Amino acid sequence: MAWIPIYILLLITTTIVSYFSGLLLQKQNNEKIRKLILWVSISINLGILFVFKYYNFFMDTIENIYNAIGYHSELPYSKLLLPIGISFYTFQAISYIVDVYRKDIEPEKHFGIFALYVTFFPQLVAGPIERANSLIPQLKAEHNFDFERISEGLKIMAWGLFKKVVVADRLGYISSYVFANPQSHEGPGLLLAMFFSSWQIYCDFSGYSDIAVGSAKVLGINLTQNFERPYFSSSFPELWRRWHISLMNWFRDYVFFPLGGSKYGVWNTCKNLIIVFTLSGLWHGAKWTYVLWGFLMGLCLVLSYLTRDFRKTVAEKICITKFPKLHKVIQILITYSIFLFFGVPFRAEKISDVFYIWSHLWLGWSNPTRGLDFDDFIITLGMPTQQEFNVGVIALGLLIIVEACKSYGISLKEKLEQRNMALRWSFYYLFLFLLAFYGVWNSSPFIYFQF
Amino acid sequence: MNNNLRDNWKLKLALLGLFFFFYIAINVFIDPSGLLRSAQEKTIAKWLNNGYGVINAINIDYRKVVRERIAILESKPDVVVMGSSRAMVIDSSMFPGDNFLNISLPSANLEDIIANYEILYENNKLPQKLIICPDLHYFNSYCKSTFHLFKEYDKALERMGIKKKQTLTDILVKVIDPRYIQILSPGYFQESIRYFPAWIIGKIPRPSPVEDYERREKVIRPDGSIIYESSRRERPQSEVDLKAERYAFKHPEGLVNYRSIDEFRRLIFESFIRRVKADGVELEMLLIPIHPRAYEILTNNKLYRIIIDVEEYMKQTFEKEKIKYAGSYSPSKCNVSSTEFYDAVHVKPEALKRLLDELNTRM
Repeated sequence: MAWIPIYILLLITTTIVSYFSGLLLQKQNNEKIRKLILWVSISINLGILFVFKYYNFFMDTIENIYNAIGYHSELPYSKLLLPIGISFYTFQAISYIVDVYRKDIEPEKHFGIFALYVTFFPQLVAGPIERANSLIPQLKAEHNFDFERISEGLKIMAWGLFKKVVVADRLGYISSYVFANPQSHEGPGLLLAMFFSSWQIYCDFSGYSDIAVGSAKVLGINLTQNFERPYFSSSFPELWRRWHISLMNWFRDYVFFPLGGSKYGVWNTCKNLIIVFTLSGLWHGAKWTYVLWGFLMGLCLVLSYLTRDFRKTVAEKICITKFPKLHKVIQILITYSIFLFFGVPFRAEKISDVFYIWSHLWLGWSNPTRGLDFDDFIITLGMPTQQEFNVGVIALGLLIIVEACKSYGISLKEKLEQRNMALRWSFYYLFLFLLAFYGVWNSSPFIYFQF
Repeated sequence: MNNNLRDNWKLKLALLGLFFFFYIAINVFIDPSGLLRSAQEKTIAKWLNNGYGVINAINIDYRKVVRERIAILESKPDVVVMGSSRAMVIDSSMFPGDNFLNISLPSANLEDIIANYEILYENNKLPQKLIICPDLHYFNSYCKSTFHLFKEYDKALERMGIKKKQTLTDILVKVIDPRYIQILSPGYFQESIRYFPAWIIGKIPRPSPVEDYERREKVIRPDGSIIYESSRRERPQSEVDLKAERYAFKHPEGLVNYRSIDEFRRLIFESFIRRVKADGVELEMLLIPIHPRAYEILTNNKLYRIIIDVEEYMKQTFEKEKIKYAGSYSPSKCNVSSTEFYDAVHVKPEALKRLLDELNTRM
């Protein structure tokens, strides 16, 4: 993933193609020509994405097939780097064209406003993927200075920064190291890396989303909330309604529904879910690990859908439904565990690593720290020092408490806002100090920038 | 907006501003690395040229030190070594009888080498023999640079007849001293807070001259070479190997996005070689290996296989230009074992001495 000035031409091409496609679609009444405009426009946008993101993946796959059948050939690989944010702005532009084609929205006539819609800086590089009918009217509206709104935006940004630099980047020491080299580790190390990785990804991406949402709010723009505490979901479908919401909505509206959605029986629904999630895996990256991840997520969703009644019956039979809070906690833990286990391909470098991790997860528990002191053990997992580990665990604990409270309808932020000014500002000062002091500030890029 | 908020917003903005004022004030007043002590590089250069070693040179601008000391150097050196921190342990004992100077720089890139040479040229201090220890990242156009010697570099390019496009970074570096950006950074704030107790009692370690080099802290010797701090010298082998693995698995900064040998850098490199030869300086090249485990991991990763091509390109160029060279980035090709490393990329002096001996025996 890279930021190269010349790649701005791609963004300009996407903007121009989508803008004029919108105008042409409105003028044209002939359905065949409208369809042609739609597909030409989508093809150009996806073509750019293919060349820059998927071409080498495609070549790699062909080469592997050739090798498997004993035919060796030098294939032309591309040396192009992945432009930053390309998957996000391409999908945003496609959503606009499709919405205009479906006559859900009027095309934007002002080129400047449209260009701003595609390139709006807070969400340009990693979303949320905004719909035209939500963002364009806001871009046109007049925004006055509103201290309350700015203050709210800054608080959201600060919380996002906390998630990114205090939690995600610190947990990333272990998860990045172990996932880059799983063969050197056994069950306890692998499980810890999986656990940290799940929170690292969540904090990294939702942290970015918070910063995007907060900075847009400062400017008077409300962006889509991209995460709603997904790890506190009590079922797999719920988790996917709360994780990367703007992307999931995109796939729902532009892939799942056009495929027939859930209209044509159980098997078609299952097939459509698998297709959508496999594609969403491919969207995340040009690697078979992502495709596998997407497929498995789709499969889990299908199983969840198919076993819904059965699970309900079991829960009633074992009387757990009489204790709804306990029931919910168990559901949350099961959902999270499944996501954790099948989330391995998302971080693994190779498919073989995925199977290595799954098969070795059960080994090494008789001697969890491999005969080392705990301090030394975590250092062998990639953590620079024990202190870093402690800070990471405490910060993660705080985050989980805050999110758990939110899940039970308790907003710590609102409670704080009810306090007097001296107390509130003491807290803000302390928070900013801890952010600056405990942040990992060596510029680790956001994970989702690579998509 | 309620009345209370409307009344207080100026106060709240002031309170927020106050936090950032404290943040900057802490960095400026504690200034643990002496970023704002502008004369320190000049003083260090004087100490070194007067035969003293220097300790506590934690965050000095090495490039400025080199510039200063070459300007006041009394005689032309016989042998000069240039490279990155990987070459900084090469010392005068490896060149008995020669007037030796090591002007290697931490995180040096190709531009630094060219600029350093220009400094030698401008001050009429070109040596008889120049040994360059080039690094793998020299030809990566995406490699981040901490380069500050832009004036000398631009002059050198002009002398070589090469026109360079000015990038935004080039312009920014010329306008804003990177020190001022660093003093605003949260990383510097963290350092300042750590040094706060020492600052209170007035005991922040500042660079100082020493005559004996057998110490626990890192020492820059008068010949420009360094002796690492004891914690690095005495690092257990398991820790060294772990560091090497981490380095390779964590996508080394200089190698990120390295897909091809950048044509412009290639042109500069080859022009530079021709220039040095034309100046009558005997040019030799030493390729310093990286830790065996790190090399294995990197070369097995598709993203970094370029490093094999880079070595191949360099060797072909040296042969074409009839330049003596020794060593390899592959430790197995030059018989350097994992026990001869301080970490993933820094080789111990004994192994470097062996490689230099091999260089001397080459025709």
